[in-house]
Amino acid sequence: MPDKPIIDVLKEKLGDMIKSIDQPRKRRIYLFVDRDDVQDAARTIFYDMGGRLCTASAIDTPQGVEIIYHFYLDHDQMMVNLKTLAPRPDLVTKSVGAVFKAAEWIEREIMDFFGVKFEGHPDPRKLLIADDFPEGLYPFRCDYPQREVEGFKPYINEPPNPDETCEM
Amino acid sequence: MKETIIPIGPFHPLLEEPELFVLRVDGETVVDVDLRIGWNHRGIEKLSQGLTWDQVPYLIERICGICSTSHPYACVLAMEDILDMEAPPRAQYIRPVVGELERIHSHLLWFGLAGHFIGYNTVFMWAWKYRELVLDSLERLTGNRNHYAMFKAGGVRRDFSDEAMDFTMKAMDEVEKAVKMFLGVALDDPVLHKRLKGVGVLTYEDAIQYSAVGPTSRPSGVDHDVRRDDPFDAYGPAFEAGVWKPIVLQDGDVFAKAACRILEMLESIKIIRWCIENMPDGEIDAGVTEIPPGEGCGHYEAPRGEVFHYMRSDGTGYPVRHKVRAPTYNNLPTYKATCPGAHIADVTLITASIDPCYCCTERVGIVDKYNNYRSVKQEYLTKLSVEKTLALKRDLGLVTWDPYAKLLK
Repeated sequence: MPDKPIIDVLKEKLGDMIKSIDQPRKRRIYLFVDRDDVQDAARTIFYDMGGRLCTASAIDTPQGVEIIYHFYLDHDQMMVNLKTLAPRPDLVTKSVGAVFKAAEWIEREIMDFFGVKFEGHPDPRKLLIADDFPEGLYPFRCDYPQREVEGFKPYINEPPNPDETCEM
Repeated sequence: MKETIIPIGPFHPLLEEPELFVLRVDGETVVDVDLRIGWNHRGIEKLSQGLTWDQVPYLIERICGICSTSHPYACVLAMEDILDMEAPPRAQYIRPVVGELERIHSHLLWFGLAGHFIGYNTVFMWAWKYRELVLDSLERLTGNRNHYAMFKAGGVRRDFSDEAMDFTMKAMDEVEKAVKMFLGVALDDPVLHKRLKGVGVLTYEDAIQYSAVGPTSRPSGVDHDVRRDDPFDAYGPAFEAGVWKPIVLQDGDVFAKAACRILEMLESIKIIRWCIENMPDGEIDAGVTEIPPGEGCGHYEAPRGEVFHYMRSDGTGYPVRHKVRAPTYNNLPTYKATCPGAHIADVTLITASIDPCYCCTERVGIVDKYNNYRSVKQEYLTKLSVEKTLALKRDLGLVTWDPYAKLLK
C-alpha cells in the first residue's frame, strides 16, 4: 500500500486544476477539472501515477455532455474518475487521445454518439456509427427521436404474412 | 515500393463482432493495419437505460455468448458500488466458481481454435472434449450450459446443490490432468516453438500505451489483475491465502499469450477448488429492492481481460447511464503495434492471439496496387497458416502425414 493516501497525492500533483474532489468509497475517487486542464490532468495520472485507462463514459446532462475518464491505479489499488464537461451549445473539449493512444477509440465513439468535438484528436473518423448515418443526429443524446426520422429509416423486419403456408 | 491492400472482413457468419482489418502489405510483409468496427452495434447501452435494475443483468448477459458471466458480474459490482454493500458470504463464494468455470471453458475454446488455425486439429478436438466437462459442471451448478442468469445486485439467484459441487470437484480433477497434458504438449513441441515464438510481439511500452488488458498485456510483463488489484468477493481472501496468483510473463509474443492462458486455467482450477471447499452456509441474497441515487463503477477480470461497467442512478427504477466496455475494445488497437513487420501467414495467429471473439476472416478480398480485387475465403488464410507450419515441420523432419506431399513431388 502507498505511504500517502492517493487523494492527497492527487491534490498535490494537480493543485489548482481540481475544481472538486471526493472519495465516496474506499477504492473510488471522483474529481472534476475544467476542459482546458483535462489533457494535463490525464497526462499526470497516466504517465506519472501509472494509471491504466479503463474507458471513458459520456452522459448527456442539461449543462452539456459530461465526460468521465476512468483510470485504474493497479499498484495503489485505486480508481480515479477524471470528470470534465463539454458545455452547451458548442460541446467542445480537449482530446486526451492526443496524450496517449488508449483514449483514441473511446473518444471517436463519444464523437459518434454524443456529437462532442475533441480538439487535437489525431484520427477523428467515425468508429461505430454507419457511414450513411445522417449528420447532426446523435443516438445517445436525450433529444434523440425514438422513431424513424426524415432521411434515415431504420431497418425493420417485415411482419410475417399469415396467408403464406409453410410446407413441411 | 509495391504495396498491396488486403481488407479482411467485415462479416463472418459464425461468430459475433464483425470487424474489418485493412492490411497494407509489401510483398508478404505487413506494413500497416487499419481497423474498423461497428457493423453490429446493438445499442445495448441504450436498451439498458430503458430497463429496470432487475432486468439489466439479464440483458447484459446477452452481450457475449462466451463471457456470459463476466458482464453481469461487473454490472452487479457497479450496482453494489452505488449501494456501498457486499453480497452475503455464501454468494461471495458462489460467484467466483461460476466466473472461473467460464474462464476455463473460454480458454479451452480459444486453445482449440488456435490449434485449428495452425493446422493441429487434434488439439482442437481434445480441447473441446474437455470443455464439454466444464460445460456439464456449469449445467449442474447453475441449470444452464450458458447464459446462467445467476447474478443480481446483492447476491445470486440460485444456490449450488451438494451433488453438483461434488461433480464439479471430480470434473476439475479430469480437467486439471488435461490442462497439464496440453501444457506439456504445447510448451515442449519444437514446431510450436518455431511457429509462435517471436511472432506478433507486444512490447511492455505498447501494452501500457494502449492500456491493453488481460492475457494480452500480462504476457508483456504488465503486472495487473483486477481480481487481485480491486479485490471483491472471495478473490481477495483466496489471494491472501496464497491459493492463486496472476500469471505474468515477459516475452509478449503469441507463444507467451498461449502459455499465459494455459497457466491461467490451472490457477482457475485452484480457485474453484478452494471456493467449493470453503463454501460457507447461509443466505445467498441480501434482498436489494431499490438503488439509491449515485454513480458506481464495477470491473471484473473476464477471460479476455478487464470488463468495465459504469452506472449512474437518479433513484428511479432505471439506470440513467450504463456504459459497457468489453476487453477486446482495448485489445484490438494493439494490432497497430503487433502486425507491422509480420508475415501475412502470421496475421491469422496474431489476430487470434488476443482472442477477439474471433470473427473476421470469412471473406477476404485482396486488392493489389492496380485495384484488381479478388475475394477469397477464410480457408485461404488458414491454409497459408497451415502450410507455414508444415514447412517448419518438414525442416525439422517431423512430418508424419503431409497433405501437400504429392504436390511437392
